[in-house]
Amino acid sequence: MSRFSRRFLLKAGGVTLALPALESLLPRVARAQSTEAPRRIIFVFTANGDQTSRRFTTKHETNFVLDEFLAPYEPYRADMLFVEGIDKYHYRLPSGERADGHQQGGSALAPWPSGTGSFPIGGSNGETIGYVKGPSIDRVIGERVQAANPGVRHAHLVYRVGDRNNNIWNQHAHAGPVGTQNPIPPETSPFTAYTRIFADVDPAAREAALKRLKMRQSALDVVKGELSALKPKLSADDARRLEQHEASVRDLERSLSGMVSSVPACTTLNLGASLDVYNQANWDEVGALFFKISAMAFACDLTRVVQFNWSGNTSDRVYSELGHTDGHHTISHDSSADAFTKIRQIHRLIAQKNVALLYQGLKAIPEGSGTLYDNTLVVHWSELDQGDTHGNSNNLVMFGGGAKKLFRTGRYVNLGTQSRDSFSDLLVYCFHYMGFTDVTSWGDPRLSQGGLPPGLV
Amino acid sequence: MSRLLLIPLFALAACEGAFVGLTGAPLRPSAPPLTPVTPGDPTPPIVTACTDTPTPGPAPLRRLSHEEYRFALVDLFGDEALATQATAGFVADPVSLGFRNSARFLDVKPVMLQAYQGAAELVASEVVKALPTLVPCSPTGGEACARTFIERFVGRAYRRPLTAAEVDTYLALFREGSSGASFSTGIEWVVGTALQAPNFLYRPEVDGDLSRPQGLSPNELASRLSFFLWQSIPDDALLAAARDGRLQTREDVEREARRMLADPKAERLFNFFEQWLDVDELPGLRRDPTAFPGLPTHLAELLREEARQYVTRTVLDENGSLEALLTGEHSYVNGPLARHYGLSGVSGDAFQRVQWTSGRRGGFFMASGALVSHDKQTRTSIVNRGLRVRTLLLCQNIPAPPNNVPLNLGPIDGTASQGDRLAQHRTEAACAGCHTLLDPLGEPFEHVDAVGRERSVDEGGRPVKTAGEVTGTATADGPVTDGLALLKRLATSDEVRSCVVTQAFRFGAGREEQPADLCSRQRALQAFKDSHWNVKELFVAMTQTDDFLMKPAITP
Repeated sequence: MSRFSRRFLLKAGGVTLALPALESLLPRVARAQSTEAPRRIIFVFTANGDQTSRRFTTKHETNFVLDEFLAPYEPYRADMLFVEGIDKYHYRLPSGERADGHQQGGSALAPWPSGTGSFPIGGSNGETIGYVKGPSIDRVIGERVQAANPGVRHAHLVYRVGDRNNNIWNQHAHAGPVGTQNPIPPETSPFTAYTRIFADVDPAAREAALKRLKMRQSALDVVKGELSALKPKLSADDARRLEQHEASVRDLERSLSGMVSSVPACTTLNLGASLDVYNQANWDEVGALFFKISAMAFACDLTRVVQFNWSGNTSDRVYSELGHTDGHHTISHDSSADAFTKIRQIHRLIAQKNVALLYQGLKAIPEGSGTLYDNTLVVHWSELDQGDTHGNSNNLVMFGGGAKKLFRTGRYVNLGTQSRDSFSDLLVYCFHYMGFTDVTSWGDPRLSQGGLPPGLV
Repeated sequence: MSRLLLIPLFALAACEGAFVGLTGAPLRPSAPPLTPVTPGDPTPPIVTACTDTPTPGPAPLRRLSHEEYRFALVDLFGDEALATQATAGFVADPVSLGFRNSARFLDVKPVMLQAYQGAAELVASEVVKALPTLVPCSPTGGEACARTFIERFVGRAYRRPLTAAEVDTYLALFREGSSGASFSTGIEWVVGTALQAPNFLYRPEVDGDLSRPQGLSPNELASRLSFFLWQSIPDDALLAAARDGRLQTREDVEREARRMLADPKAERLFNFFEQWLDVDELPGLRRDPTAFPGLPTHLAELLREEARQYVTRTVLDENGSLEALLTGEHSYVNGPLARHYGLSGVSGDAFQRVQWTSGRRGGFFMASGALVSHDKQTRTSIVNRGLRVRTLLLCQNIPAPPNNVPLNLGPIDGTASQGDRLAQHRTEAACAGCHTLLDPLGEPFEHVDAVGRERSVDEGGRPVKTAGEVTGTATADGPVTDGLALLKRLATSDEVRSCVVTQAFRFGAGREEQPADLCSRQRALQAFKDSHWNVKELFVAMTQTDDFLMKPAITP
């Protein structure tokens, strides 16, 4: 039997007919101009909460005024919806099923109870605490996108700036299924991340990849054979992990097949010289590169879902560019006026980065009669409402980018004034934005208020 | 307080009793009373009923940790730099219980699949450049030579003889790779496939009748031994012992364990120690240049090497006890680190032994790399140091901070010392519950600053106060005057002794302890005690337990 998979044979017809495979790997514009551009979504995380009393100087639905740390968004306010008063409700979970506000709040894209077994902090009654037991929304949306659009290679991309090690505080993406602790370690190097998904967009790298294609496929066939031989001999839990491995192989094989680009702007990127991605001095350059990669991955339709994190939650990065000497998390535990000044400085800086690097980056890529920006929902969130209280009942979520394709934008809404104020319920709109309007709830029912927050769309 | 740290003793399936340490010690034991401690003998009695029925705990499929993958490459090809290069881009696996080798979280998601593919291709393309050193026969031998190579190389990677079908699979790869190309390309395909193959990436233990608990096969034992003690694949001698029927009994396993612990590769056990006490978190070390001017470049690397030298020499070269590991009043420094500490008489890059002379400092926890790993940029963190004593040395758990409670500790540059402000903090009921458990265990270390130097005044120029108190233990409670006094009190305590067994078990087994393995842990603890708490003997003892030697029935 040949070592090549059936799919490869059909496509390439073996060694002598390798040329069609080459062509199938070339980027090409396949989507008719008349077709509506695909929707994308990017979650943008900022750590440690903000200062809840200093978000707005005037809270009025349309005549709201952004205070200093939100001011950088002012030029984009017409495209944005500012929602505060959102409660994550994780304290409803019994002790032993939730960790501290950072971890549980930082897992709010995966609004499930926490398991046990990983950390000596958090559980009551002496239990250890674990990772949340269910998938994050970026993962689930990405899987739905792929199911509906088999040409999209990657369900989602998960990026974090900084932090070498991964723990319950700095991982915000989870693969699930419900009931299972299954964190997804984020990619932390834009250089590795770029090579991984763009290898065959770059003509030079594509040629090298083609040379290796036969070897790759043969190796993957061995991998698949061993996985299926091992699986029946293992426990259900172990077999599940091998199924994850098999799914990864399928993902990779999908990426060996031809790619379809939505816009002519799909091209390679020059990331510049490699740098130490864990050096805090390189923080904003790493963030900039991940935003660039995200935008181009959207343009090339390599994925439609990105989870971007400026850091993990509880980040103690020192913003020395702002003259700070203490770390972000350390400052956030402090209720003094001086500490809050610094917190506002940090959030303002990050808002400036988001605008300059993400918003303007998306706007720079034409798509149809507009730009990528118009078709990308940006969701800004944090693990806490405010750091010094570890509070989680007055969260701020900002929808930006192409938000107006679903939301009534240019507005401020305070959900804290009525009962439909759950963070997980609010996330249901992300499914709707991406076209999955059949979704009516998200996450553990205990974290829900039983319906979608009104007045937003 | 009542909801804090009252750890229910778990149901005891195979044993008739328990002792405090192995479950994580309750601070305030609830009924039933814990096993009483004999006056004069601080070690709790070992439950003898454990000898009756073998009780292996769960044995989840282990994927190689990134360290294990890297060391396996080193042992397969002898090229440290290539192994490091190949694995440099691996995303870190999720930490669980402080360790990065927890079976349940080590899988192969898309990012890692591509990372393995990249590593395998890189290594394969490099090693075939020196074909004569890689392949034990002449390429003119063609397929026969390829077969020899496959049986030998892939067999080592798979840690067992290949089946005929596996040899055929790899021969087919070789033919495809070399067809129209060279012998070398065929070998490249073989290597590039083996290094991403599930039988290399995972450690399957599927020999024998899987429907019942049973002893491991000799090859499975060889893998368990080598990945535990060497963080890597077995050497030829171990595989030969397995092949020749010399790896079947407890005594066989002990003999091999002792041989392996005498091998330089046993230094890789530092992986356990550095993950246990967070020395592995040092690469993120960052200190404010104004608060700490003139630090040596690469301080984190120097501190890690200091800790590595201290641990490996104490445990492996000197057969040190747990007490020696935690309280030895010496360290290992090179020239730059000696200058950092203000020690004279040491120069150059080589590390050499030096004595701490203050009488207040010593041992692995107070090695700078461990002690300062969670300090702040401008100062020590009493809370984090105390937290790590409580959780890492005593194996106790701490509840989460309460929800929606002001945590205000005030600005750090205020007039009061950190210790004084924490004392104020503890007057608030919402904070006291946890901070009384943490702060008194962190304050005794205040005479060592956030970069590991002894000091008499704190960051604000105030004289340091180092009085603290051990609470919540069965036998070690009481006031202490400084860090070393604290560690001397703890190093001979029941809780810390059994905690070390628990931590080594978690690392060795790649999982959290379970009721089913209680007897195995107790047996290891007994042997540890019998050896007068010789740390190397603990590693030998762990290979002698049911949990190590056996595997449970598999329920598909």
